[in-house]
Amino acid sequence: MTGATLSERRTRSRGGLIGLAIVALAGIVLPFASAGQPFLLMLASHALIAAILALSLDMLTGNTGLLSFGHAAWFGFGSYVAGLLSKSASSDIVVLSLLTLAATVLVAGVIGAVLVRQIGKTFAILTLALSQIMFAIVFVFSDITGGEDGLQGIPMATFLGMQIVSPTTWYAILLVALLLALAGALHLRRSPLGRAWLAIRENGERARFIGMNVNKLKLMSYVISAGLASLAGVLFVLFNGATSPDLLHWLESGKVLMYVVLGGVGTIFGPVIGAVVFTLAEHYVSTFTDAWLIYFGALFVLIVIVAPGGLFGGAARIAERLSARKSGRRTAQ
Amino acid sequence: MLALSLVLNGIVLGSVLLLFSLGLTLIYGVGRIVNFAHGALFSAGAMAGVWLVASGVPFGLALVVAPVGVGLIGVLIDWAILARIRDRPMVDSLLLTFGLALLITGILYELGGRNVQIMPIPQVLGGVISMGGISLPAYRIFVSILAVALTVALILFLKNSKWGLRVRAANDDPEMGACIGIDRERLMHSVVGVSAALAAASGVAAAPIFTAHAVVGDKILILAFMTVILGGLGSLRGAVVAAYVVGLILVFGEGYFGGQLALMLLFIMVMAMLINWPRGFFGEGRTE
Amino acid sequence: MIILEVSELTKHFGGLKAVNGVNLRVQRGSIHSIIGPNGAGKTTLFNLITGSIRPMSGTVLFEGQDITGWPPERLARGGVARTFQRTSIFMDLPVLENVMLAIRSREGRSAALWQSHQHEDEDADEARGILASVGLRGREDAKAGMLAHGYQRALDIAIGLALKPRLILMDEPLAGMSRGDRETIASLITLLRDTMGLTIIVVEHDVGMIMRLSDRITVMQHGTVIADAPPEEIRGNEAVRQAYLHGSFAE
Repeated sequence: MTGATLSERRTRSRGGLIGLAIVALAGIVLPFASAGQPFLLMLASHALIAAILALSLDMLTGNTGLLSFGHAAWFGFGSYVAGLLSKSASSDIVVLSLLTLAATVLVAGVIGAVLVRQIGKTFAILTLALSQIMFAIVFVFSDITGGEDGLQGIPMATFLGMQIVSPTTWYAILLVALLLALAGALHLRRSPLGRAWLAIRENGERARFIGMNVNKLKLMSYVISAGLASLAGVLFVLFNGATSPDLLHWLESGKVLMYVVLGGVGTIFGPVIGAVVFTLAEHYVSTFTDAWLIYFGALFVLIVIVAPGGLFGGAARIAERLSARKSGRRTAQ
Repeated sequence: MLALSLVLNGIVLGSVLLLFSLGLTLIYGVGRIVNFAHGALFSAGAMAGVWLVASGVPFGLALVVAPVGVGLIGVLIDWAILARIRDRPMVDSLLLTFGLALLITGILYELGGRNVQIMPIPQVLGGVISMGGISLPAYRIFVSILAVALTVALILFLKNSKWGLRVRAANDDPEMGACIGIDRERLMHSVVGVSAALAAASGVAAAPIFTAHAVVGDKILILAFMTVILGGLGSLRGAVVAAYVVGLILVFGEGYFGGQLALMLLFIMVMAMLINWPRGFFGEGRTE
Repeated sequence: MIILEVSELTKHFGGLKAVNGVNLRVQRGSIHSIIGPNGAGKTTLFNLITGSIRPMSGTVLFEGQDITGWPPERLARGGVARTFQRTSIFMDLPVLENVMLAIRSREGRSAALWQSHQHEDEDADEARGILASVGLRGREDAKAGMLAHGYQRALDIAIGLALKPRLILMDEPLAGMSRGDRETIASLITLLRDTMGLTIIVVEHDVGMIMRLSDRITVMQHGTVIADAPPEEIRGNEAVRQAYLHGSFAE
């Protein structure tokens, strides 16, 4: 009788592996396709960072249903912490990632502990406020953060003592980071923790009555999500060589939310695709109009009204239903 | 002396905040909608006011025309957009008003909102009033009185009119409201309209102090959010008290520590309060 | 032997004395029902015992331990489970996963980042066993939301059972069910007592079924207990008859 769950588990993990393989393949092919167009590789690198950021928000919203309207707070936090540390402590990408992650876990742990206790609407409001506060902090400490000009002159990042120079190497690092993050998200989804999250997302009250410490589990989701967002910030500041308060602005938070909503909340791959598509689209749209915020806002409104599951989310659901029917036929035989 | 002058300025900011937060509370009470676009409507009001005055409309008239115009846009927004998601989960309404905030901000950018626009203080209100060694620009006193007067008028209207009765019924219990024969659609149109007009009125009134540009409403929105959380989400009297508390904290913080740090301080205080009193000053905040 | 002892439990909402100095003693291994007209305070009493709301005064002892005001998650881990009037299950998840969530929670593995295949298979086997005991064999892989109403109620009970409780409280388990489903659930409740030795507290409207099902019945009115006796005595109790006549009681 245990065969069914085992095979179910295998199919599910197989689906994730296929997704990972597709992302890896697409990522590997691109540098060859873009040979001689360094700008395209750079745009793709930014898209990869956006994808990690989108995935980080999906780790919160997709798992527990909590909506963060200020997720850029952690993206910006990571970029500033890593940027400042790179000037004083180390320029090693791994060391910087670990130190920044530790700082984020600490700060997000304290703030999150208050946030996750609130009802959804208060949570949403406070997340927006948090990003505005982080934005304000940059200006409070202008002499070390560079204020409006941003943090400039980040030393070139190193990895195991070697400087990371070539754009292709950077691209490879970012791609590996995204793949690792995706693998982690997929693993979590299938772990007891991931399934407890889904239970909370669906029926928080029942989850309490079966003995789950809902606030603790939500906090874990918040901290993991903030941690991944801050890692995206680390990669951004090292890749870009600078960071600015724009990273903390609510427009940036809006973009991240858009990636997730566009891609489909909770679908893991959807937000990643959403981030890539949106980053490319933003670039091309902004070359012929600077009113892109209007199109962005209108699209946002339209998607919420017409396709609340997201564009890719809808497609993913259809695929899931098809595969479920197929596996149902298999068990029936 | 500094302290007293800060108190006065805190009351001025608190009054503007009160008028602005009232719209937020109203739309939340009746529609259970947290309106992220409320700040963008403040900006829209401020910019419309500047534009009207610059085109030769007297300030007093601009103070009426701009809110009415933005109020009508609010009705349009509710009819065309918010009405589409009436029965959807709460998450959708949050996302939708957030998208609206982006959209309206984008439009304001294209209408010249990238640049800071100055609203001249009307001449009659240009002076400085001195009392016992403390001087306060007359315009600030005017704004406070205006904001308080509008707030009182609205509360009286809520208490005494047929519209107010409907709003209060729907506020207490949306389903009950439907039972006693309230046309929910029309009520929501009017509530969103009034709410938008209040945002715009505070935008125009504050424009000579805060200036006008596409994102001038961002900061006031955050302050108003802190206000409604401190007062308890959906609590009217909570919002009244909280508006002045926030106004005073911010002005005092700015006076002693500088503006951005004051905002940080406020946020920490709000978080600290939520640990013990998650339902606001009067314990009336909604928990659903 | 007394498993649950409620003493002088009181909760007022504004001027309404929803529960006023209620005493209750529940025998281990019995089906103990709480009935009464609408507004009698049954649901409030239920919520006070299960930790949804805190009492103003009074105590609740479970197996001699003071559990007054414990939050639901602590009660669930301490051996007190509940089911819901409006069936409360994880609709989007498979039936088996619904029960496995409760098993993992009981074992303190909800927050685990990793789980061995052995644990996974053991949990699944246990969940299958529980599902079979409530009559859900063969429906393990269906989405919980796709089950018929009666089966959803049974799943709600199965989730409660997965916590290995010593006491299970059921909030109107027969409400809104078809006649056939009511019979099924009622016999399931009896079965739980007889085969597992569970203590079951049932808050119910359906008096007819309760008379047949219960070992003991507590009748409430206006927030107080007006009778507490075996069913046969309740049937002839004058105060109870009066309460029913005056209350808007649906027989």
